[in-house]
Amino acid sequence: MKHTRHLLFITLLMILALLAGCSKQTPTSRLATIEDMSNKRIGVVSGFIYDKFASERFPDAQILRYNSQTDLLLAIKSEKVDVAITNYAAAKNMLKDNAEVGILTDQLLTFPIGIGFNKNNPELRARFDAFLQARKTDGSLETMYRKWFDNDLGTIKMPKFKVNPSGRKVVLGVAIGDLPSAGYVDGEYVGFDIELIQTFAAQENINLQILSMDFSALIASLASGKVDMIADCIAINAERQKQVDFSIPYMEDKTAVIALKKNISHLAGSHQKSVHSISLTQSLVEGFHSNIIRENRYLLILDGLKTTLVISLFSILFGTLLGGFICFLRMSRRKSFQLTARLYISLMRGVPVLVLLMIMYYVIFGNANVSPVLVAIVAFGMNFAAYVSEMFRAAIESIDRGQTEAGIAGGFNKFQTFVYIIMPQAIRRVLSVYKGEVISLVKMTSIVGYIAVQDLTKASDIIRSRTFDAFFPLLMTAVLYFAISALLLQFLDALDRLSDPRRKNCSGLLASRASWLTLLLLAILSLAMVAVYNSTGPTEPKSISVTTGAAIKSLSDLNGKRIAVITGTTGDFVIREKYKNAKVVDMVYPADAALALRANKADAFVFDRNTLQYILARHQQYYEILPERLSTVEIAIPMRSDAPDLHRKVNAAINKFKQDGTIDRLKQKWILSATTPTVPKITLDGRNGVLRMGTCLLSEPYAFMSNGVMAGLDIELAYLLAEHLEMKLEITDMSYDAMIAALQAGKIDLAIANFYKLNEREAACVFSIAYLENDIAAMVRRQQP
Amino acid sequence: MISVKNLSKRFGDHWVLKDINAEIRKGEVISIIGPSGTGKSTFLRCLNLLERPTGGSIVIDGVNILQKGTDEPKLRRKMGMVFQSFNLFAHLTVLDNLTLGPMILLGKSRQDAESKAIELLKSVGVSEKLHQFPDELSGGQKQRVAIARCLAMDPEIILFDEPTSALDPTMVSEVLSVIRRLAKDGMTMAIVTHEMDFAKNVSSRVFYMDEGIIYEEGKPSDIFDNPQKEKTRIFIQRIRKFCEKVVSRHFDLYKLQANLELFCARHTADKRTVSHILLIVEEVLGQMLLPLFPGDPAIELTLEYSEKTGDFQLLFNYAGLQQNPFLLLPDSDNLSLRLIEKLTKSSSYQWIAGRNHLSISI
Repeated sequence: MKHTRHLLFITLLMILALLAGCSKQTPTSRLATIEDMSNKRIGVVSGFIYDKFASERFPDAQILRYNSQTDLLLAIKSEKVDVAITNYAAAKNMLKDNAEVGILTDQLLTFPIGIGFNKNNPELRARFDAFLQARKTDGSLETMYRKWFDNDLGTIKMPKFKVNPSGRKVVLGVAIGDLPSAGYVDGEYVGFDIELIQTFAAQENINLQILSMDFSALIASLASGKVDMIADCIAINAERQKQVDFSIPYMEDKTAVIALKKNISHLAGSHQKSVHSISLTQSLVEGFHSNIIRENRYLLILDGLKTTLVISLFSILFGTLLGGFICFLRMSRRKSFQLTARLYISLMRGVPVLVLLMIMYYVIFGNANVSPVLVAIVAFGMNFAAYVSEMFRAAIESIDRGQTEAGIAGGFNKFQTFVYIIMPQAIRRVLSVYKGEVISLVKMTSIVGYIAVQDLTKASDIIRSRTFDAFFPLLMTAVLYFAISALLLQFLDALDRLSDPRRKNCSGLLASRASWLTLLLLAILSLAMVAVYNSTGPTEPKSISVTTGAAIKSLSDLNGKRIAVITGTTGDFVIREKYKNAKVVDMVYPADAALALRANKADAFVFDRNTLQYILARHQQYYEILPERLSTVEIAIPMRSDAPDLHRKVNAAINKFKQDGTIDRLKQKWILSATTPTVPKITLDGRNGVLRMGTCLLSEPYAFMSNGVMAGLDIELAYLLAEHLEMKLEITDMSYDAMIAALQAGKIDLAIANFYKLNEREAACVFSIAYLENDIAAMVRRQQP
Repeated sequence: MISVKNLSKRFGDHWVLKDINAEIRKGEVISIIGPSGTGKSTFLRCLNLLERPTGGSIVIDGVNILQKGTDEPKLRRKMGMVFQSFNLFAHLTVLDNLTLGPMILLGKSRQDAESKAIELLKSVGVSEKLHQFPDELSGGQKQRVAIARCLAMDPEIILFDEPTSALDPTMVSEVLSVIRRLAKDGMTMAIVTHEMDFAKNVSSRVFYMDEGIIYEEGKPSDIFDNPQKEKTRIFIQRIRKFCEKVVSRHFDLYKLQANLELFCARHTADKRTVSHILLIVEEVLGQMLLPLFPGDPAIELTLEYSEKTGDFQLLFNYAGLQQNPFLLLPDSDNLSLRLIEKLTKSSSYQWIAGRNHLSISI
């Protein structure tokens, strides 16, 4: 009952906090027709055709430009703009997950949509036109269109296309981020435009390479010849036709004007009254959906929960038994036993559990192929034992000596006296403190992520790294830990009652056996957990036979191997997606992963090629990198979402650095050379204030400590950026997770830390344009000749 | 049945038991009495090896149990023990306290153990409390349950370690009558006790322990009515003593009198008795004894009070020629002598080992 009340109280507090956060509202006059937009703030995606259209059509309106559809939606929801103009398909997609947003009208504009080609390449365009015409005639274009635009995006299957390495190379530029046209999901380009062009490429035997960039950069890239064709729902208009050759239209795009429903006359109404609670539930439902339901993420949570339970229960069991043994040694009359126990206890209590865990994993079991779960159980059990052994001793010593004497004098031997007389009384005394220790052990297990165990906390970390949403995964993890603790507490309370000789209908002898029952029940429960754990492993099949012996010569050999990844990176996703047969070893830092590979705890380490090359340059004797790539990622800078001015300046700076070769120079200097360079002294005058930046100094070669000063590509880039912006630079070292939270809380302005630009992440913060592109590659142990 | 020879026990540097020799025969009830700290309990606890003796031998039924290889738990099953602080198993009900041993150690079935337990609890008068816990019982009830717990194991001897010392005076008799009945039934028992009347009436033999040995032993009537040794007498009659040495001709009489007055007051002597004692001391020392010494005197003065009889007795002990001071003086004109005779119940003079012993009962 007590727990239920607590839970209610906490829930109430959180709801209040959320309500307080959601209740700011600015009065706006309602929108009824298109003309009502003329004096409003209108949001558009920069570079989209609506930008120009809006400024011409509504000269009195204030036009605000955003980098992506996601930002646009966020601006609507946070009432930074009153209406937004975007294409109809994207608008419909937005509406699905955001019930508070409605469509004012879809009658504003209709565009023909085409694929753009370089003006110097009429041959390719002609071939595409012919292809398109044929598809139009046989109706397959229509089918494909219906598939992408009429269905729920989560259910659409993108067909697999083979890359034709021998074919003619054609580079396609897309601005990913607005499905159903083009998007990037699980390391793959997907969408209607992508499927269309890949079908074309397959038919024409073209080696298609896809490059993603900002929408506003598409036309420029095509004109400069960096890409051969561009797609992504590009409207055909006269101005664009001056620079670009368009194919014949393959679809028509309607334009939608969206706004908050309460601001739209014909949609406001009954909605208005409960707008606060709706927006709250809505945000919760949305959070629940994106963090729990999407990509079956609840399976990840369930798996983590199971692992946490297994580790907790077994550590408790093992720790209790070991604690009993240590207590026996400690209370023994033999000096050597006493000394051993004292040494053990002070050692275990004096070393942080995390350090103990790492020592057990990397040193003690360093060369043995032991499951990290087992290592965790042993480490936590050892720590637990030290604490409970002293509790046991205190409880036993608190029992009146007369009880022992009565037992001995009554003809019991020492062991019988302990079991039948002392222990039942001691257990009742120790239970209250023991309960507390058990709970703290359960919570302590949340650090097992450090040795590549995917527990509840790690599962929530993985989800957070994907969605960049701190609130929901953390809240859910907290609730689940609380639930585990509450359940364990209930179990121990039940034992407490069971071992209470005073409860009704109880024979006292039974009470003395409750102690044995305690251990027995725990054992049975643990075994049951193991059975469950082994029989069902939905996201990570545990029963696969891992063949460690065979050499890895190409990516196809990765199947069935143990592959180290850094949680939440693209390498992680690609491996989970493409190599379902592989055993994923989750690591926190690249250095740990490289160590795990070297110590034969993993067979490959999948990460970005730059970092891998950096590691290889220093440890040639241990590793080699496979030449193929698993995927490509763009590295960009996440920034505060409420500083559009900063976004613009940073993007401009990156463009400049790209063009003047600064980025290439940095890459050559930091990644490809085997020496450790230093960041040159750059004086910053700070005329335009302070630029607060977050980074993680554990990610060589991007950001790390060298000779006591910060070094790395990202650090030098940060200095150059600050110099360019004429701002002072303030660098804070934090973990990856903390950086996103810090961004959202406005504690830092931007984070330069080798961040991959992912669709899902863009919901949580704004990314700059990419400053680096990077392959995801695999590093393996060097084969001995 | 049990024969103890040269038993000794040392705690650190302190010899609690020096040289115990005793014999306990079947059916005997032995009371062990003596001042505190003289090793009575230690002796009892040595018998069932709750304390490990330092030296000597304990032979039970022809076997020296101090030899290696003795099955101590088995031995103890035949020797029940009742403690001063009861030591009932706190986590078990009264019934379970009685059945635990028989079931686990003797392999009895629960049914057998319980029916015997109920029978025993009836015989000690606590059958109503079967399902209650020790801390719900009065002290007297606890001790009776503890006795029943011993009996449940069918012991050959029961050792009682001050069974009534922790009880309220009102509960002492209920426990003693249970023990008395056991004695009547022929149970062999050794009882460390301070209940003198009980020891006198119930036991077949009494051990008086002092100085780490069995100082005096015998039938209760011998020990209690006619103790042979001084220490035994002091203990039995519960005698309190005040001693002072007079070693100067010019000793401080007033200080001595003040101290005597204090001792008397502590033992609730009435005013008349006190003034008599002070007068007698002044007269005997000043008029009779001091003149006997040419130089400084050497007189040991002792005032004894017996809590048992309520009598005061003055003792003067000094060296010198053997002469009874009462006879020395011509009785007609000695005022002091007449005064003393008038105030005393009796007086006596003895010459022991070269010293004069003058004792005066008031």
